[in-house]
Amino acid sequence: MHELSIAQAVVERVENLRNERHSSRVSRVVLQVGSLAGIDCTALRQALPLVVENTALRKTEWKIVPVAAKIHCSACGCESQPENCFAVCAHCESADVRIIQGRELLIETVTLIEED
Amino acid sequence: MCDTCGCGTESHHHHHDTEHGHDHTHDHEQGHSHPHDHRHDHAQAETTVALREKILSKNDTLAEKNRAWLDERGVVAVNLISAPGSGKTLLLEITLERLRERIGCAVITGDQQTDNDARRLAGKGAPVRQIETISACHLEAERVGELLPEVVTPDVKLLFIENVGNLVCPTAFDLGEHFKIALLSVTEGEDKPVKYPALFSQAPVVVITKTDLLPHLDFDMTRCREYLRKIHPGIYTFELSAKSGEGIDRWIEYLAGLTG
Ligand SMILES: Nc1nc2c(ncn2[C@@H]2O[C@H](COP(=O)(O)OP(=O)(O)OP(=O)(O)O)[C@@H](O)[C@H]2O)c(=O)[nH]1
Ligand SMILES: [Mg+2]
Ligand SMILES: [Zn+2]
Repeated sequence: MHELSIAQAVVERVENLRNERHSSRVSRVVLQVGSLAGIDCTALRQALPLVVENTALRKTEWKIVPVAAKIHCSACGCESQPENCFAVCAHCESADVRIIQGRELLIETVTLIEED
Repeated sequence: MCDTCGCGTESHHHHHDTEHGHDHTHDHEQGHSHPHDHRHDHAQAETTVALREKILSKNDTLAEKNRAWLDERGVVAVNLISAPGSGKTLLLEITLERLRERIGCAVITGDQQTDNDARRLAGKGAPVRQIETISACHLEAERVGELLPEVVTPDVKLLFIENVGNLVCPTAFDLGEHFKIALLSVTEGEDKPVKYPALFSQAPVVVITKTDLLPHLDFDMTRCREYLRKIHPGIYTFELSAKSGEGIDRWIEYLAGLTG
């Protein structure tokens, strides 16, 4: 269950940001998780509520956006989404490809509530 | 915009006593006092911060530090990742014995509990340290960094980091190694690379272990090589048995070649 460590890292970072900005609450956090990041989105979704207990993020809405793997073909310049085969371009079958998307593990946005 | 709180007002003053010691007539409970005009409508304003930041940036930073530390000393570090029981420790036992008189080696080995692996690897001429992760299913850069000065003695040129047995989680955590080596034992089935592309697409080297068991299994080696090529064109493959010694020579020569 390393999703628990991931959740802890997210909460720590968001709490730091909240304190820096002197916000009382965080309404929404958007995360991006690539299919090659080695993260189980369901497990991450389950881990977050456990980690935010007793923090100001109890009521935060978490949005986890999965990012599909993508390869770029140097031969035809096309991008395609591999399923099992990362080695050939889906368009021209060239093997001159590289992975350009799918390793993401990002905090995309944090929406802070500022009570004035 | 106010740099301290980012609140978008120009007209208010913060009273950080150290910066400017002027008096304020009232205090707020929060550490950051906020003497804005005393309106009492307390409107809620939402601000969306486009962070676009790596979740594991803290671990990544520590990993970069580890890598720089190793580079300064000319040490090559590899991170061995596989499912539990694929044969990481037995391969390391043989490897340490074979490299003993040739290259200074060291091992950091991670398990959730027990120092069994460290004990198996002890007495083979290489410094060994165990990390017990307790609940975590992977090693992290911080703990590895703490152990580097203990295990990387002056004559060490090659550091093996045996990760916690797990085919998924350790992939996400950079430890400061130079590259990952995936192990896959023939008892696990030839389709592991397509089932767990995260690891196999990242590791430039894969070791297919326990080949002595092939006669007892339906493992399709040709298929396995094909899957590996599909997931990671150009992945460098070893097929060996730590039990029979088959394929070990090539592995040892490869490792010896890593340390210039
Ligand atoms: N037949 C055979 N058995 C092997 C071989 N390599 C390892 N084993 C056996 O497989 C079992 C697990 O090996 P380990 O070396 O402990 O595997 P590991 O990957 O270090 O396991 P964890 O650290 O628990 O993840 C042991 O019983 C080994 O003796 C091999 O090449 N052939
Ligand atoms: Mg082991
Ligand atoms: Zn193409």
